[in-house]
Amino acid sequence: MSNVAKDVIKKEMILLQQDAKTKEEVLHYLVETAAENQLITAQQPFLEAVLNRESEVPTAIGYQIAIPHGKSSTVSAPFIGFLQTKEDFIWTQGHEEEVKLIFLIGVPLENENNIHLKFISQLSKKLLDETFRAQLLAITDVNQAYELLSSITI
Amino acid sequence: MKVVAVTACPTGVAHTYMAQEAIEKECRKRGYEVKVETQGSMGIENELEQEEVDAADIVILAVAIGIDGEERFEEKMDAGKVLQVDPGEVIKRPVETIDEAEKL
Repeated sequence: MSNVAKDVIKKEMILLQQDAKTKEEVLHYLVETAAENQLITAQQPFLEAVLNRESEVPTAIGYQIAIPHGKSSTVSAPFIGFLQTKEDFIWTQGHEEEVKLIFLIGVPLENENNIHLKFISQLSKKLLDETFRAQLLAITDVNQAYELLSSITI
Repeated sequence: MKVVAVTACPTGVAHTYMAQEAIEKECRKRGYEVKVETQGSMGIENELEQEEVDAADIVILAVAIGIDGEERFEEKMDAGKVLQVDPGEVIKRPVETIDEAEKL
């Protein structure tokens, strides 16, 4: 497993089989977990950055996936959080898109380490791979999910 | 068929690269030659030379922000060979996007 993957994805940021049914619940939980793991220095400004981005264009990209993201000075290094829900739910009221796999992406205002961003872009691309998506939908074990996500090569 | 494209989105961490992947994947499936320039948080990558743009049958600009070097596509725009589309749309509907571009 590459060090880059270890930097960007923490096992603690993989939340599977969640009951959440709204964007707010999901984001709140992911952001809270990010703060507990020292990935962000403050919850509120980061959450606002993410919600602002959502209000421009919601980040449900189809394929039962949403990729909310925020660029904020509260982020110390680029990270990804992954939350999988038990049931599909509508990501943004008024839009048809239903999601089950949510990837929260956090990036600092100043990007100093491109290798982390490279990893995030590679993971994003991989989401268009049907087999990879099927694995993510079926997975129930955090360790397996961690292995799968960190298997991405840059 | 030769396709060139530029992808760019506001944050430049995910959509830009997913749109690139979506375009490349669909074009390869159809046996087309394809090159996609990305303008994201990692700067400009896979930059398109003027000659490559000139040689293309179709240009796809999957951009949600202003891009650098837009003048490279002026001639193609005048010729009606440029499809402007939202990156999110390309990611969601790659088949339809390339279909639409082909009709230009």
